[in-house]
This record gives sequence, C-alpha cells and structure tokens, in this order.
Amino acid sequence: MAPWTRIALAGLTFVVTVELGSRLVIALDVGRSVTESVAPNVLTATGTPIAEQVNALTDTHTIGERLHPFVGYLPALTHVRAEGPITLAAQREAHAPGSPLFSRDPEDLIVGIAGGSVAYQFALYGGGTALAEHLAAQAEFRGRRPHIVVLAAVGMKQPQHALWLAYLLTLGARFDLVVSLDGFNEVAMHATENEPYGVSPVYPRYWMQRVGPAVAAPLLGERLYLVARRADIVRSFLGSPAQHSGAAQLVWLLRDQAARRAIEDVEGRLRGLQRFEDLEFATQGPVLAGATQSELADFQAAIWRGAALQMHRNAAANGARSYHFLQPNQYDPGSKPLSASERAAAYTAGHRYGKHVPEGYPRLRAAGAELAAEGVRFHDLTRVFEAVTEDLYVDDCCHLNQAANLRLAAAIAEAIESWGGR
Amino acid sequence: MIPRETQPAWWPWILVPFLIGAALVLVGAALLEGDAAQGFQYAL
Repeated sequence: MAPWTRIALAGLTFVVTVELGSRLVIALDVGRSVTESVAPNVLTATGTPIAEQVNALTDTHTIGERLHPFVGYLPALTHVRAEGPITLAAQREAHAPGSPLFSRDPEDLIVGIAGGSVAYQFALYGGGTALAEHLAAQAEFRGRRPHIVVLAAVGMKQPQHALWLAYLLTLGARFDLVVSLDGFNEVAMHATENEPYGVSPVYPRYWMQRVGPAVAAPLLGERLYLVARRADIVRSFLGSPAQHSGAAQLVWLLRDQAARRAIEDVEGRLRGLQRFEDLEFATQGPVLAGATQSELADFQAAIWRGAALQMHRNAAANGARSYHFLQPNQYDPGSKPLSASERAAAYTAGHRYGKHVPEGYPRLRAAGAELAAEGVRFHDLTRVFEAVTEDLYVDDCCHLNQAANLRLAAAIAEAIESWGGR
Repeated sequence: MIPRETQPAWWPWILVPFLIGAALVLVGAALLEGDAAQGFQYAL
C-alpha cells in the first residue's frame, strides 16, 4: 500500500471507531437523541427564577420590620398613631423638634418603656396612660408632666432594649425613668426562631430570615453565572453542524455534565445556608456548640442579666433611673389561676414558646436577685396575678388584656414609689 | 520492487487507530454518569 493509503486507512479507522463507539455509548447511557431531546431540554430549563430561591430564605414573620444598623430591627409602625402621653421612639415624630424624647424642660418626666410585644401593648393599650397618671400623683413627681416613650416593639428581646437605649442616648435623647418589662421573649423565642439555623440566642429573632438573602446573594450570583455558562455551551453545540456527530454529542454531554456538577455544587452550598454551622461568626454570633438545654437556658438568663445591668449603668450615667420588671406569664407554674376561658384560649400545653418558661423563669428570678444585689432596681412581677381569677391573658403566647395592663401599671408605679428617689 | 515478505504489514494501520479510538470512547463512557441526560434540578 502507498503511504497515503495507509494514513487514510488509519484516519478512517479512528474516525469510524470513535463515531460508532460514541453512538453506542450514548445509546446505552442516554437512550434517546441528544440533539433532539436532551440538549434543547437543558436550554429551556436554564431560566430558573432566582426570586424563588431568595423567597425560600425569607420569612413572613419579618414583614413590617426593617433592619436597623444598631438595634437589629425596628417595626415600620406605618399605621400606628400614638396618643395622649405616648410617643413611639421608632416613629419619625419622636425625632422631630418638640418631641419629649429630646425635651430639656425640667417639668417634663420622660419615662421610657422597653421590652417586647407585652411591653409594647402595655404601653399603648391602657398601661402607658395609667402609669403616667400614677407617677404624676406620686410625691416625688408632683407637678411634672409624664411622657411615655415607647422603646418596646413586637418580638424584641435583650440585648436589643439595652442597645436601643444606648443608641437613643447617643442621639441626645433624655430619659428620667426607664421601665423594662421583659423576660419572656428572652427565654421563649430562641428555640424556634434562631436555634434551628445555628444562630446565637443573643441575636434578634429570625436573624437568618433577615440576613439570609444577603448572605446567599454571592452564591445566587455564582449560580446565575454557571447557569448562563451551561446555556452557552448547549447553544453553541446546537448551532454547530457537529451536533450530528456521535463523538461531538459525547463531548458535549461530558461538558454539560461538568457544568451541571458546578451548578449542583453551588446549590449544595446554598442549601448549607439553611444551617449556619459553617458560616462566619458575624452572621452566626456567639453560640454554645454542643450545649445542653440547661446550659443554653443559663446562657439566655446571662444575656438578660447582662443587658439589665448595662441598662442600669447606662441610665445612671445619663441622669436616668432604670427599673427592671420580670414580666408575668401563664406558663410560669403558680403565676395565675387560669379561668376556664383562659385555659381554652390562652393556654396550649407544650406551646413552642411557653414550654421554655418553666426552665427559663427560675433562672431569670435568680438572675434578678443577683441584679438587685448589684444595685439594679429589679422587681419580680411574675406573681402579680397570683390571686387574680378574672380573665387577663388573651392568647396562648403571653399577651394581656387592658385590665391586666392597668394592674401592671399600678404594680410598676407602686414599685417605683417604693424605691423613692433611690 | 521490495520483496513481498519484507513489505510493512497494513493491519497495524487499522489496529492502532482502532485501539486509540476505542480507548478514547471508553474513557468518555467511564466519565459519563448514568444520569448524564438529566435536565435541570430546581433545588435549594
């Protein structure tokens, strides 16, 4: 044979072997036409709506709340109107000229109320006005004009109140008295709202739902890029005459497979965000890895105690007096004889929040005793409804009716009076 | 003219490219996953 014949024979053998071999592999592995079914399928499937993935990380619980640079979040409060002696620190009006929050008039008596939703509802639904009236009647505050400034917001928990106070003081706000009514959120919410995502009990509620989309953004962007690259590979393949070659189809299948693996890898990392174990400290906050339930409860009580102490010190350094009240709750055994209607409407055995109270509240009471020993004006209100048989609780979380708020206002005013000017 | 028995054999010109081609295809087949033809997974 002539040399060119041998070379042609070798080339032909190679091409036929590769082509027929590739077709055999595709027939065995894929079983259908790569160019007619598989590749166009990939092309049409690459337009995944990214919004769906962001939505999977968000949560309806945070609607109506806005990330705040120093407090974690604040309620938007767009449809709430403060009346009478009430001012809402999270509203624009509180920061406008003439607001009592920045008053320098010695006749004004500025009373901050801090806490979560129970404190917020207390301030707005009867308790705030009643407390203002009680205080105005006390000898120490005679002739003063009480203003109730509401720092409390739904779902807030320490150390948010402490930092909210520090932030307002930084802006030049004035407080004469700061009344904190809290304790429940601090022990009840973590287990369902932050712990499942590996987020610290110190952080505001639903922290993952608030920052998750931002944390996921780089990965979502990377995924978007990889999806576009996979689409480019299939477009260039389908636009080329080589698509009819079995060998080219095998090469494309391998390239597509690598592109798909890269996308799956980044999607795996996105799924990893559902648990924060491997995330950076800034997102996760201080957590007790491998802690028992008891150790976690100790940690939560310590956070509450530390925040109360800092509020006390910060208030004192700014000419204000801080009063810390441990709020009552129906899941605290012996705290209230529940009526039949309260048992039906306001008590659920094993409630996701309430079930943490029997373990958490004794720790808060012990921490409160330590605070009192350190000079903090701590008052335990967990037994304030101990002998009250009328309906006070309105839901199976923790919330109270107006009658209860009026009782709390009287108890808080009495405690403030009992301390005198101390 | 070269004597017939001293002419290079023609079959290696078929066998060698066949083996190379077959080896390439086998490598490709080995790299290809069983689910290579799957489309896109909408997973998060």
